[in-house]
Amino acid sequence: MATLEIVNVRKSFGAVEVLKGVDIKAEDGEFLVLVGPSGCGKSTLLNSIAGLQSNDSGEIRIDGEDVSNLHPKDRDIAMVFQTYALYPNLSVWENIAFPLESRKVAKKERRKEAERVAELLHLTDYLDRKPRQLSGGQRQRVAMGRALVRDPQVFLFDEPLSNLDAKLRVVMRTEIKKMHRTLGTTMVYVTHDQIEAMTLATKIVVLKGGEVQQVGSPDEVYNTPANMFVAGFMGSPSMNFLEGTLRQAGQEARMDIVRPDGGVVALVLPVGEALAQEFDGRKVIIGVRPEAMVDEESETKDGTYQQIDWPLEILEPTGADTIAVLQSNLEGGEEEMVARFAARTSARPGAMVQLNIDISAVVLFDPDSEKAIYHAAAPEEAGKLVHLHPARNTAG
Amino acid sequence: MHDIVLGERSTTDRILRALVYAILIGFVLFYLAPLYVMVVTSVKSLEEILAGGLLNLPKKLDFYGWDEAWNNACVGTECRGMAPFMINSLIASTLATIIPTAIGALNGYALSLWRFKGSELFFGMLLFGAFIPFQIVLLPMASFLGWIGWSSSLTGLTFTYIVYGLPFTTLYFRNFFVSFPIDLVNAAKIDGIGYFRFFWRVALPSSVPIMIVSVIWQFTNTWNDFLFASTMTKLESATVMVALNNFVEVANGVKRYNVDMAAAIIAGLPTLVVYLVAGRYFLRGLMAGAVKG
Repeated sequence: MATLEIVNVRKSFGAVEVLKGVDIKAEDGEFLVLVGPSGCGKSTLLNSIAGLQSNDSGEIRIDGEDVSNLHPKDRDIAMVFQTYALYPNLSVWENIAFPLESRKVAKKERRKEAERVAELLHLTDYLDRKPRQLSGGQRQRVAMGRALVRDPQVFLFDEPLSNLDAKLRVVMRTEIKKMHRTLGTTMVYVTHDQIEAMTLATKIVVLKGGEVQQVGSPDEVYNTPANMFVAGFMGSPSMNFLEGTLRQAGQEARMDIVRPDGGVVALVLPVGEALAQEFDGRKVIIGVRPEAMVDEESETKDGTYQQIDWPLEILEPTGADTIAVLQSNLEGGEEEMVARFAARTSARPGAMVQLNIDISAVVLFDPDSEKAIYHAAAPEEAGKLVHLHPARNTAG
Repeated sequence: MHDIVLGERSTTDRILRALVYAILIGFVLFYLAPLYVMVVTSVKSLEEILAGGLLNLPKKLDFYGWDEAWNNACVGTECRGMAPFMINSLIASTLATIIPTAIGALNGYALSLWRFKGSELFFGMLLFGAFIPFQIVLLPMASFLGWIGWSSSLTGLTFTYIVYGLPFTTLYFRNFFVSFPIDLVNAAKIDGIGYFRFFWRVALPSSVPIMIVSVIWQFTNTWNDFLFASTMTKLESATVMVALNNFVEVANGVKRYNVDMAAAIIAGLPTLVVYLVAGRYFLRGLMAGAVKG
């Protein structure tokens, strides 16, 4: 049981700065997920926490104590590796109990502990097997067992599910979540899979290029992304972006959007007077999640829907619903948009389709800074966002 | 292994295949011929040998040559047979196998899995030792042994073997452990498993294939060594290779080919045994890392 604080941690490999001053705080019992594309520094950060590599500067605090200069074994952490890192010549029970060996626990005790942990993980029948005789999911469990037997202050997971097949991944994800609920121990989990991040985390840290993009609950990160990167990275299919020009209309703003075919459609957004004034006549980017972009036949949830006409390219039925692929107007129409239509949609590819857009779930971005200026899901903070990131529009 | 479907083979295919086999069988016969001659000559009587017919099978089995070689062959004025020299060789080669393999394992383990600042340079320097022609170190080594009082002794010779075996055994183990998953070491570090415990419980048991390679290499090389052995020993500390040379050289009058051949076979037998026992592991060890599993 412990809090974890990462204070201004920096790390370079040669000339490449991998961590550019990372600050994160995890409360006791938190499930912290570090998520980001490959090369974002998430694994480096985890290794820093584990002590497998030293930081250039900054502090790692576990329960308030700076452990930056402690050997990994003295940090009271346990780690589950992507490759499982099982000792190939040792049996399952020896693998699980190996950490106890160096703590001078008698062999009988060790076996008993291994049996206790194995029962939690449904490994009782495999205790005397070698790792190579196990399936991927079982190996993963042994790796978790070896962490569990330690009863550490913090658990670290380094992409533990990425070597499993899709079905098993979902099963193990649930087991990890259960484990967290039972133990209540602070956990740090690294993944590139945003679905894992959403489903497991109590707090998500989105990283890119060695910098924290946003820290927040899954709900916050999903519904009120701090910038276009977070908005595009979290969620699958990812958020759609459309470019348009904002015009003030009292308390609201009208956004004129030029379609790839040249037609103009408009959305009226309740952005508040301050923001409308600030961005009057300027280009903005609107972000709409696929589920907030539906067709006539879709069962609409509560929300404020506005209609625009847009040319439909392709329909991909998935059974439960239909994925509609449309052309965005970003980057000269190269980008695609994805909308979620009803399973039995009457829309036809190649024709104009009426999109129902849920205005209460959109996000506006400043195209220059790519930062969010308006979250429809949290309108009360709209003024603050603009204030936080004053638009720099001098370059363009 | 799966049998793949070959389909119909063309005549050219068959002819080429037959040709390949013919060439290979030819080389095999050429390679085995000397061994055959040695074996048959060793069990012929001297009269039969002198009568000619090198490739003929013996008319009558005669183990005089083997008896002479093992019990009575002379080196200088001493006629005690090969047995004492076999024991010398056995002592030197066994120690020169076990000690460098053990140290090499520990070296290779440290240089690959627990790297330290300058460990690559250290390894590079050790590697250099593997490429020095032994003729270069002969005199300095001999004078060093003289200086510490080990000259012309089995101890000095064994020491030399151990020192010059280290670069090779270290190289083997280092290259074996370098493909060892580093996550295992990281996991051990986090779990508080120390350097020696990890070596003893995980690294060493996993390295059996390369251990076999190291054992075969050290044993055969030191057993067959003539250069160091002839320089650094005297009569009673000579190894079997030196003794063999002296047996053959010392004889005056009629050359007793049957005795010489029997002695040569006896001298070569231990390495043959090592190969037969460990041979399949040897191949597996050489392949380790090249093929998964």
